[in-house]
Amino acid sequence: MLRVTLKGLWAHKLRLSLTALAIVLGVGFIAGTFVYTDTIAKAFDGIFEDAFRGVDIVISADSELQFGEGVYLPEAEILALGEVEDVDELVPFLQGLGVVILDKDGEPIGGGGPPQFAFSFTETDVDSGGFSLRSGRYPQGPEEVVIDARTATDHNFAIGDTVFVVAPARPERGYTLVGIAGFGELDNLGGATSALFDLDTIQALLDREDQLTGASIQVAPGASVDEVIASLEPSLPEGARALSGQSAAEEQAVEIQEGLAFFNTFLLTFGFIALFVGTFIIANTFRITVTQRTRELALLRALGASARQVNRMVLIEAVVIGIVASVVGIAAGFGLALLLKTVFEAFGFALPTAAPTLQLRTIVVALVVGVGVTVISAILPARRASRLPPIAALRQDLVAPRRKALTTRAIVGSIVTVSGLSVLFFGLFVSLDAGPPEIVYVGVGAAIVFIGVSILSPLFARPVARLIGWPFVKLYRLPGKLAQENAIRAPRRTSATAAALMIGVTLVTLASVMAASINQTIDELIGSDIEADVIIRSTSEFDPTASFTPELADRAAKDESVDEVSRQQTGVALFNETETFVIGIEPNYPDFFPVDSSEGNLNPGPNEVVIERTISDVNELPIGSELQLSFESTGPTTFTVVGIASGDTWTDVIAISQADWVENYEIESDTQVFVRAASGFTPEEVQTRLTALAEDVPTAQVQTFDELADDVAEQINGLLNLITGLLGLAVIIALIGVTNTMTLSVFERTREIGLLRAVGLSRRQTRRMVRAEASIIAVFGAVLGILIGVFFAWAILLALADQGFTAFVIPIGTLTLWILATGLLGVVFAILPAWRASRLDVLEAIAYE
Amino acid sequence: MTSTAARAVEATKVFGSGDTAVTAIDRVSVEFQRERYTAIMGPSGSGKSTLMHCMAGLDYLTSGQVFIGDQNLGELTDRELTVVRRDRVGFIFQAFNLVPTLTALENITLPNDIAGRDPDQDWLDSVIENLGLGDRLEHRPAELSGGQQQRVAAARALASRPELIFADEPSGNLDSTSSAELLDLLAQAVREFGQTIVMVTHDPIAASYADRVIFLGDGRIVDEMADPTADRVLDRIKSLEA
Repeated sequence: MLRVTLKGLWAHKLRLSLTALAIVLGVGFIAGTFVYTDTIAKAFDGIFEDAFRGVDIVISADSELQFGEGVYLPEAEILALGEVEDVDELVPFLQGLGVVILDKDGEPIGGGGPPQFAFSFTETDVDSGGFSLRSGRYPQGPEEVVIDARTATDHNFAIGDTVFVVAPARPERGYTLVGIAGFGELDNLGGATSALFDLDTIQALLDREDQLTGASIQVAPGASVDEVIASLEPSLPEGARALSGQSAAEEQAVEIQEGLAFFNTFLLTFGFIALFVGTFIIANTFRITVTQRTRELALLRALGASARQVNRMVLIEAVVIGIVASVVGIAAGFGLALLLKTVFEAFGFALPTAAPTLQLRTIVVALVVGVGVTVISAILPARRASRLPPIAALRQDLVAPRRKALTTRAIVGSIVTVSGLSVLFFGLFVSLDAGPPEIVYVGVGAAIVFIGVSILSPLFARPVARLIGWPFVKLYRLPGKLAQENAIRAPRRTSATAAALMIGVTLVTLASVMAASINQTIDELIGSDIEADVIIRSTSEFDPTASFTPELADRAAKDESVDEVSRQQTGVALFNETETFVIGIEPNYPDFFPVDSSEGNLNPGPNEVVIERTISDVNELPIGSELQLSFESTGPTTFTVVGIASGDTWTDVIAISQADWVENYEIESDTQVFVRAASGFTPEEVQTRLTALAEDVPTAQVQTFDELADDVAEQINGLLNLITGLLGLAVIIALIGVTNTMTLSVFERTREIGLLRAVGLSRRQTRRMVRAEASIIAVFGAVLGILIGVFFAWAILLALADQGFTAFVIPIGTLTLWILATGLLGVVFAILPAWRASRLDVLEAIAYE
Repeated sequence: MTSTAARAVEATKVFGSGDTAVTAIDRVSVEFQRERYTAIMGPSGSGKSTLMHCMAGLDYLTSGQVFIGDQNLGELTDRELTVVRRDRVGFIFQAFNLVPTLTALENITLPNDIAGRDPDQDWLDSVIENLGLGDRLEHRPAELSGGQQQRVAAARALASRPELIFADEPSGNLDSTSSAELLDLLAQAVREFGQTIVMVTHDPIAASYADRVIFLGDGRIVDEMADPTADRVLDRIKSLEA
């Protein structure tokens, strides 16, 4: 029996490859994601190994936070560790973020994704920080800088040039470039820019006199690293720890891997969506091929094959296809990994890479998922095959598949759909303390809804296909009419093929509606609610904590075009063990951010905090209660809640006084400055004047709120484009399903097409007929998808309403475009089967059985 | 003495229900002897194929009983019926006898493959030699002529030495030479190897190869004839139609 299966598969290579293609793409995407993130992880491992090579012990701060500037240690106490026994050499170092190098036109370099680093760079035998000179010399004194090789090459800097650098709290200043450094083999650190100074200079630049990030230690020859660590420990300053160089490298690598895990999950989600769509395609293909092989399978039954044997035969077929497709998919994964790298670089996420890495885990996951999905898809068709009566081998009239009663279909479909909706709404509206996160319920619910709708869809395939087919009848006359009738004649096939497309289109629609609605919400928020005309903010638009010198706000406040300014500082702290934004506000903050209702005092004093109503409600923090925030530099600090406010512009606010903020973040700089125009000045006039005032701070930009809204919209649209691009994979797989269905149905209608050709249907008309049917199926899927997508978006926005997402916008133009595009793509993906149909030999086709 | 290979008792099969109900066979009782070659004849719609399908365990009766040997097929589950078809019965159909993706030899041994048994090699060789298929074994059905395809189907039926072979218009799609060859081979199998064959046909020449002919009309047995010749069969049909 195995031989029958394998021979059958081999004899139908086209069918095999069409079925496999859906799996290849899905598995390929998953394998590609793993290969890509593993490769990045390996590259980072390499970086850290390089960075800590030759370093025996690293002294660093014991910090829980990963995001932000790092924790600083007292210089004198660290330097004193150099006196500990068996410490041969101790090299203190300091590093910081948000130190921006300007290109030769005075524009900031980077800021779109990877960070902008500054490091101390000291000549030593200890390989500290991983940078090594490529050319020139080490920086010495307050006038000198060394930059990374990539930045130097990309922006044509040569030794001897003046390089302008802006630190968070400082205006721009020129330094002489005395050297170019590489990071081991790499020209830069994963796309980040690096400016290297001597220790005193960077301490001044970052306002960190007498502070360090840590130190690298080399132990005396023959001394044990562990013993030296033990003798260092009693003398370590508070908040510091000593680690062997090896452990430090491993720890950093683990941190990166955790960071990558999120990225990995994000990408894998799209891979699994693609495979879910693939399930529909494969199930449909198997069903069609089982129908086509009715006589062959029934012959086997007549000759004594048991129902179970026939069932197993179809399943073995699925296993073989799954294995072949998964193996090809793993190979394709390498190509996709390269593509992902290119795509993400195009979006500005440059990450370091090494030679592609294929882990055993990737192979196992790919095989399990690929084979699993194929076999699951084949379960129902296999059951159908096993239930074929043997008599079907002899009686042509029994070949037509048994149809489930419409009422059964309606009942089952409705039950499944409603269960899916229940799970979906449960995930959206019920908050859970334990178990899987809510988003899992939303995802699973949505998947069940898709299955339910695809069960129901044959019920309305007839009228809908008739409607969609109407323009083709008008346009193509007879071929259009035949296409319409063909789509209607096989409502199950039409709707099964359309269902796959429906899923992709639903998700794309969901993304479009969400983006349009969020844009609208932001427009409303920015446009009307904030009582400011102009904002000064960092050019690093992705990082809300990127800061600039407070001088700017001082200058703005003195300008005659300005009525009033309100400074804000934004930083990250741990609240309830979660990283949360904490802002420092001025007493006039509520004048700029109007409240709907409030209690208590909205002007926090020392160790006092003002929070938004929802935070107060969820965490049971009434006026007078205590709230703990943990800062990187100063550790856990307790604040008393003195004010609670609610309002559209107060989403997730935790606000402390500016004095407290500066104390806890140890930096005096602003992240946002809100400006109200004096009477007689338009926002644009204020913007022009302030831009001139900020000329020596190129890391800050002055924007009107219209521009701000456009910028935010652009960011959201960028993300939407990325997501739509990744969902495109699911749509492509669904379109392959269209090709598949049309190929099989042309094959099935060989005789019929031969007859039509014999009575005078031209080749061109034959092609039109096939393409039009594909188009009807595709548009059917798109229409279903758009309806469900709009509904899902509405439900999600309803659930998010209390978080300020109040607008619900249906981008009709975009969605119409999607329907037309899908129809067109249906035609494109039917070109091949249409061509095959038109090339059929008329005589052979008529004789065909 | 020849015993009974298969028999039907008051066998009735009705297709459809209500106004559209069609009685294909109507209380048919008949016996087929071992080691005999029986032909079932009748015009289209006389119920001859239905009778054969029900006797072979391919279809179920509406009422009455059919037996293979002593086994009442109506008492069997689908699984048991499958085993009966696999181990005790062989088939030759009018068309679509062969799995198109398998070679001639693989098609011949298919019932053994299904059962997971090794074929009796000596017997297989003699069947293949008798049917003149020796040089065609590695060919796919599409590469064989119609006559060769039916001979492969006959070889498949004979190879597993079933108690009884059902043939449904085996020569229906063949030219007269191929037809004669095939029918000769079937008659030879009965004479020389003691095979039992039941053949459905509407062709008097085909029927003349049998030991006995049963005539069906409107779902009932209307007549029968021993040691038929083509002319006698033709005359009988004419008289029945008159």
